[in-house]
Amino acid sequence: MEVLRITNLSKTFDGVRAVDGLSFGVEEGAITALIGPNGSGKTVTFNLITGFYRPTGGEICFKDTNITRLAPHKIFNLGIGRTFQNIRLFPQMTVLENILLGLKYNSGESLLAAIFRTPSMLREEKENMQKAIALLKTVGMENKRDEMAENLSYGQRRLVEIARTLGTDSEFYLLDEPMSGIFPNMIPQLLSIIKQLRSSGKTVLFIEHNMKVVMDVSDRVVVLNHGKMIAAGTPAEIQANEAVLDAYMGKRRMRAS
Amino acid sequence: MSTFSSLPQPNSRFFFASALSAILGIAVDRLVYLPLRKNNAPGLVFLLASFGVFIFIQNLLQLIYGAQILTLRTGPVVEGHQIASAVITDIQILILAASLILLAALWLVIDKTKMGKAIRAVADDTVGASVSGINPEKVILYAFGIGSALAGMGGVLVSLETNIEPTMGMNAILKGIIASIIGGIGSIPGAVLGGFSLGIVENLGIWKIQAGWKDTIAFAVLIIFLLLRPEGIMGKKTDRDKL
Repeated sequence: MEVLRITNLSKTFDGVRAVDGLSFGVEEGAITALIGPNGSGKTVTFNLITGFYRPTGGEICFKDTNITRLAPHKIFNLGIGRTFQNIRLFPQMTVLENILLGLKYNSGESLLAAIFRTPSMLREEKENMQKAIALLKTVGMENKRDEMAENLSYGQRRLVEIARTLGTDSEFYLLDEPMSGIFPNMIPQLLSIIKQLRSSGKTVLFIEHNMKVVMDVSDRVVVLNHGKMIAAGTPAEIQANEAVLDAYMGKRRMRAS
Repeated sequence: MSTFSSLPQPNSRFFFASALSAILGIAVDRLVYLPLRKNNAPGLVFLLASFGVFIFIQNLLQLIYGAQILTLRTGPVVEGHQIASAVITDIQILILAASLILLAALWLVIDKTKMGKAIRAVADDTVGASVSGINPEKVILYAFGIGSALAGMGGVLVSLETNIEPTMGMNAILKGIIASIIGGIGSIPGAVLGGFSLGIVENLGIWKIQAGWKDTIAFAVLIIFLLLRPEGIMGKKTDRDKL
């Protein structure tokens, strides 16, 4: 079953066709990689799906809901979480606060609850705190919990952003280059986090330039070039696809033959 | 010893003024700032627009009430309490107490409630807030409402002590900006500390020299801070290149 269906999607910026009649689907419970040369429209597609850009044309459906023109926070509330290529953390908050902000609060933190420290609020606060610390442990950042986010390195901020997104308990995760800037010994850990999402029934769509990672972890690969889908299939199929090789290597091989 | 009978009784006008201010603030946001946000206007445009709104409202007030000075004082003038060699009036005590209560309430809202957290998140990173399920427009609406209501209450408190006129806002804005720069922009304790420091320095200054130099003292303090400690007393040095 498809959890996401993109139909004839397009986005132009002052005449530049960043996404041009794009159609593809994302299988539920699978890991799908979105690849393509620089400027092929991958991040624009992410921004269209999550509501940060308004499409020029086309339609995006998440399960049975048309999300084409919804505001970002509404799309998030339907169960779509994401990370960004240029990490989005709250720099003036601590690492722990960043994670806590992504967690779902049930009883809420009303002014009255904050004044009277109601037992239900305290219990929830304690549960969320444990959950946040557990999330930080999964990305190996628990020793930085009280550090201000702005004082972290690029790779550390990316790990915190991933932990925050994991904490949102979404159904569908969009990860924009999750491995970039990550210290190499953390990559296997991140791969196992992504695989773990799949085994708990979540859907993952991720943008990645590291082909070894793409081939290792994904069930399906969608290839973009010039805002269009040029191929889709299993990693093995994509590796053998002529159009994909042309897009990445140029047409030189044809001229040589 | 005088009693507190000279004080204006807490009446509905105080709450009416703050509610009206909140509505006005939200209306200004919807009519002026929202269209600018939609067009991704840079910060300077917002600053200029806010001055435009300021001049517009100031002139509107002059049209309605005239440019003359008015007073809000009810009741007779009562001698203040002598503490050492300083004198403090009942009204000044009321202003101080009301300010402290409002300050505690604001701190509680910003630091402890979900809306306060959302306000800080949106101020830090609007996009990041959106992917945490926060509706930035709703948060901005609340922030304008809270801020404007506080400004309205502040206006009522000030007018208990001084005369009121349509152009009185400019001085409050300048002193407010100076106080927040001295204290450290974005920090509530910093704003309080900055306000008190500025007030004390100004008034100790005019103890020795003429009162007309009060504003000069305020700006001198501002310039000293901008040169030596631009992040303010409580502010942290921010490293803009890092993020």
